[in-house]
Amino acid sequence: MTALPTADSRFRGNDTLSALDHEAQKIVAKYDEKRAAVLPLLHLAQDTIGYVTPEAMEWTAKWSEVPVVHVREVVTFYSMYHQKPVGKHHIRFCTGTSCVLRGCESQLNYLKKKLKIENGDVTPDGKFSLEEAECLCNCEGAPMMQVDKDYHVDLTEKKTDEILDGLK
Amino acid sequence: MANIVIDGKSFTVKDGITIIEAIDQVKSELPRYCYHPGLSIAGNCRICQVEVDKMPGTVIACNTRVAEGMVIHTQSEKAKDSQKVVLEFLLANHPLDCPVCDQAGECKLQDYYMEYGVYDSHFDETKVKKTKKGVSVGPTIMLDQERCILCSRCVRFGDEITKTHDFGIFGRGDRAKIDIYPGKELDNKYSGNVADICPVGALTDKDFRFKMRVWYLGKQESVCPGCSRGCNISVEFEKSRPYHLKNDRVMRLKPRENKDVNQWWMCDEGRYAYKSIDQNRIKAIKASRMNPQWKDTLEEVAGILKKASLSAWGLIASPQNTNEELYLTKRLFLDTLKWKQAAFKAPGQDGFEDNFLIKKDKNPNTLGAEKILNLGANEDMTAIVEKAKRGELEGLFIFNHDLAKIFGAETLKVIRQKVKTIIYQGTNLNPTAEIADIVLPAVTYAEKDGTFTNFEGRVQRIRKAVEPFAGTLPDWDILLNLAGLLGLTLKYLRPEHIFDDLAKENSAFKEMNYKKLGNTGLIWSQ
Ligand code: SF4
Ligand code: SF4
Ligand code: FES
Ligand code: FES
Repeated sequence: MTALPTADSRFRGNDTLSALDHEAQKIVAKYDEKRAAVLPLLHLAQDTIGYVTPEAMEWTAKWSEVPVVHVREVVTFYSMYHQKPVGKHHIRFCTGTSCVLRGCESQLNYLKKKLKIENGDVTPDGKFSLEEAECLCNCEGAPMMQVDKDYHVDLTEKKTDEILDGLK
Repeated sequence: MANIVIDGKSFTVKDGITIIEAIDQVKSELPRYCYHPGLSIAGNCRICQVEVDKMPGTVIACNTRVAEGMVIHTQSEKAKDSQKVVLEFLLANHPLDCPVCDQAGECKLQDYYMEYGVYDSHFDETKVKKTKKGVSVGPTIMLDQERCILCSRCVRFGDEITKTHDFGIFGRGDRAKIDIYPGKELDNKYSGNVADICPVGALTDKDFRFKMRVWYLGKQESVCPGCSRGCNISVEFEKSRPYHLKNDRVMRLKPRENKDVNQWWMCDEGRYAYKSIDQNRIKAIKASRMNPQWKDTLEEVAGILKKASLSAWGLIASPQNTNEELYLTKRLFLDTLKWKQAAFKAPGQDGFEDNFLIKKDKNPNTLGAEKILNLGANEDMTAIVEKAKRGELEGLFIFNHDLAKIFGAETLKVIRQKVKTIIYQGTNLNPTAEIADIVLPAVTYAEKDGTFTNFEGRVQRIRKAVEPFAGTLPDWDILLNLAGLLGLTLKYLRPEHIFDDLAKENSAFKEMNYKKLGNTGLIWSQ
């Protein structure tokens, strides 16, 4: 079960959310059925706040007219919605079959040791977070990882150093 | 209409119904978990596999519609194999902790597991453990996540019946688990129903949990006396180990299907009100002589009633009594003794009401009392109570009502001072019973036969589930005995005979009898 965010982040979330109302209206208007807007609304909230807060779920529920308990079902179903803050850079490290066959395990361990975090953690400085992912559909480049929106393929320890050290 | 064949027998069923509905209509058997006739189709548990000629593989019966000429097999090797495979998957992460599970004995997962003999799983993997085991999710229900088979019945109940949207399935794959929204409680007025519909031991009823194994329970069909809806129920009581829990005999109430009254549901207030059947009961007769018995007490009462002047006595009858008892009340007090002052309605007692089941009239038989006693505008007891307070009455015969609750303790005190004789006939202890000169201990709805008329004029049977406590008698029996002592000879052996006479005399009950009432009751002819 996800820990509930602190009062601080909640406040930040609420403020930000009401600023998104206009955008939400436009999203909802695009669909015949309001409930179809659940996914884009959640993405909008996550992109703005950094993760999906309980308030963001309530806000999505309000705009989509889907009971909040079912919004939460959606959030917990899809691994691309985060229920707690992620790092400034979010790493999704593929552990799919092809990547396993091509030795992702040692690469993943190297990355964990380098950042001193485990799956699901954020570095203390808030810069990186790690998530082990299923096949990211780039098997030809195995082993691979996704950092924010970019794919990085044919990983080696050297390459990982370069990628991560190069990020601000 | 569609002509279909189920397991070699031919049937004609309505077009467009599902195979499982057809199977239920012809009273055949098929395993099911997610399917519930009162909820939308989910088709997610997959256990209801059947083989249909000319269709490849097997199909789920709950989401496949019948078609003309369909030949369905529920027991064929192919169908059974499919069901068995599905069962094994459902058990993949199930703890099989039946020995400590309260659902054991009425769990379909356990039943089919035994029946299909899937004792040894083919799974080598360690079971995925869910975190919440025996966790309270609200005032009435405990949740055990690892027993859940994710059938989503409880989710749909919250969405479709109570519209309170309580449960959700969070996460996915083998980590998916049932829960309510974090920080919320399952606290709607119908919450107990989720324990009934949960096919496994994931949702259990706090009130019943660990009280008794279900195979020790006896069941009797009855009607909830909690309000004028008259939900059909089954009264479940300790059958084979009497008094294992001391004086608690009735263990729980369960709703019983009646499409026209309560469908498959009942409210929590009605469900948990059964405790008054065993607790706080009046078990001892009170009369002027020491150590009174029924015979001498009824003789004493008859003596008083014989001498009572018509205008100086008041009758307060009860809409908690059955139609049969109200009919005897009428025959005795109104027709024979010709009392002028009679009422049965208590003012200001309306309670909560919604637009689903719960009615504000908390009596099961107000309509019956109206029709049978036929008191016109004098139904409300306020006038009688006012007279009593002014000292204009010599005596009161009160059935079941507690005047302290209705008019306040002060009023009861005044009445006690001003009225010479108060006779009380009722089931449970209360201040009115306490101050009465004569107390006649009656039995509850679970200890007698009879009928109630619900808010829309539906006459429904209640049936004796447990024997009356020693020293108590059904109201109808007390009234019959009194009538005899007062020279009104009524030859009824059982409530059924009383009802037959009521049906002859009162046009509302015309042509009704117990047999015709059956299990679901009949509506008054207008
Ligand atoms: S808790 Fe029970 S009713 Fe709810 S989904 Fe699980 S098995 Fe079904
Ligand atoms: S709605 Fe009325 S009759 Fe039905 S269970 Fe509740 S109290 Fe009893
Ligand atoms: S298995 Fe890693 S990208 Fe497909
Ligand atoms: S009962 Fe048919 S799929 Fe569950």
